[in-house]
Amino acid sequence: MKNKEKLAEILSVLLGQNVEINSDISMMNCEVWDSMKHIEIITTLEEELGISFPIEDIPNLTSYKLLADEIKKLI
Amino acid sequence: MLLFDKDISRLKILTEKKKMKINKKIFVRRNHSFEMTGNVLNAFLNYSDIEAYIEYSSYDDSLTCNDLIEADLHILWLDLNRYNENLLNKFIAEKVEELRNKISSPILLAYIGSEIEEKYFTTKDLTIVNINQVINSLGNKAFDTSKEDLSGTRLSNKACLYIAQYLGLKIIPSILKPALKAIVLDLDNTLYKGIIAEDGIKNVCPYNNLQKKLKDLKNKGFLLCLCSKNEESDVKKLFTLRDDFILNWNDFTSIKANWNKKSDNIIEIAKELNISTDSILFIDDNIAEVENVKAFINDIHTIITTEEEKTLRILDLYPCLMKKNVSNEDLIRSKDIQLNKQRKEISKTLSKSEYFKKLEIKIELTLNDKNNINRISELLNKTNQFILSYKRYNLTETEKLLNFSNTCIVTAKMSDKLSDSGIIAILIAKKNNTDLYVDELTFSCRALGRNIEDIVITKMLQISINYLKTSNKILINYKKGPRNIPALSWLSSYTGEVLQDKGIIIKQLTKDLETYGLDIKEVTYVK
Repeated sequence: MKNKEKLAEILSVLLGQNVEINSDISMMNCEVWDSMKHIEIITTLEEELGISFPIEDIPNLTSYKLLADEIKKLI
Repeated sequence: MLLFDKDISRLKILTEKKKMKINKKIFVRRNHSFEMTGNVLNAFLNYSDIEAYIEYSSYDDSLTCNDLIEADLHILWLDLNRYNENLLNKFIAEKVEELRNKISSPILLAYIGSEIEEKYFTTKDLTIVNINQVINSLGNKAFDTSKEDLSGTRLSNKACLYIAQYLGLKIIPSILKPALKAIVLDLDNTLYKGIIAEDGIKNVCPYNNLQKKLKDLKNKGFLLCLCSKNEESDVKKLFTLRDDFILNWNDFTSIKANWNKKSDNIIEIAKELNISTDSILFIDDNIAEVENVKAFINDIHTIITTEEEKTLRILDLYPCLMKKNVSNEDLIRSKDIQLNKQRKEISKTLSKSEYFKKLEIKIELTLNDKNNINRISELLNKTNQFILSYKRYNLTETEKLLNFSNTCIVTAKMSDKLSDSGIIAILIAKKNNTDLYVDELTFSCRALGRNIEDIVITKMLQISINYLKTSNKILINYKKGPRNIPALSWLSSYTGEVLQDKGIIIKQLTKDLETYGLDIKEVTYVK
């Protein structure tokens, strides 16, 4: 639960809009979330949660849900 | 002071970021990505009231600059490992010069990788930052090559944060805003550990790294002042007895050691130095004192000291304390202001001509002084109180003015028997049909109060009229700004006109000028 909160917080701050827990936000429906923003989200999550995403998975983690699932696996 | 912390996180910095309207534009030409730095840069720039719109070029190792993008600052953001080292200096220097010929705003070259030799870079208004040094302390953590394909740079997230902090606090504000002028310091637990009235003069322990840093700033032209709740005799004794202190009594341009409110003392210091309070940095260990000062002087800059190392870090990153060139005026400023007290005493009893004679005041007026172009541009950008129209021409624009046949720049240098004040006034004049148009006029506040303004400015106007072959009708452009009341008061009294918020005043210059025996010499440089 705490990690989902953190994920929502990070997405809110970095995307500049309110992102709720279990949001359906993704690269497809959020204009600000481009490829450069994506890498910023990934590195901030790594910094804040002390995790390291597998490089090959990073390009695919393009929504709140996919990120939340991956974080669950890593922690 | 979260923004100055060594251990910063992107989330924390962006969470605390103020909301501000965009007031500057930065254009980044790059051969690797800047976004990870750029996305957090404004959080640091906000500390200096800057919010920048950042526009990017595509990735381009050849650094072509065919596109003319208007911006307040052009950043060249380069990973130099992508170039052949043998040709590096020549190639980059040529590219910077090519850019300079197309744009007039300042250029910041920030690079990682192979080191360049600065002697090859002679481009005007160029700041070079070796980013390797900024991220050096991170060691291996400065790079994250595993994500290079995704991020477009080999720099790590941490390195990008460090760089944003360094550029956003220290470098970019120093390029875009006027430098601070004075640092007002508390004594007890600020310049040394201990309280002289309690621990005794012999037992306080100097913060000599901090004192050394402050001495360096003084040598770059920043004025040091003391504001301490102590007896002045004790403070004098402290600096006499403690020969292990790096700072000494004479390093301070103004000393207020008394029991008055610190805000009152600082306002008095600002008056003495003829500077505005927003160009003062006040450093004190006591939060209550700092808050109290801020309550009365809301535009003052402040640092609350804790450990010496932290204070040093804040001071090192603090905006507008960086000077690329130290001018002759920077070196003499402190002494010159200290001597103003003597000048005031002399002026009390003497007539104008007796005063000029007694002080041996000498004025040198120079037309189109190419040799002092750096100083001219610096004064146009930092003068706050005696400035008529806030044109703020940067170095390249100032140089261009010298090349126009219908424009001239007249500068005035002043010296007297006590000191040499260097350049004190600048007039930029243009030919407007047959009349003389005063585009900008600045006068150093250090030189005010000697009754020379009318004479010197009139003489500068006469030189412009002769050079541009205009009539004696002059059009003086002015604009009310945040702090230029001294300039507008002078203009009103000089022309006898009532001023609005902005406008042009027409004056017919009389041919005769009473100089009261003031020693004036004229020098002309051929364009």
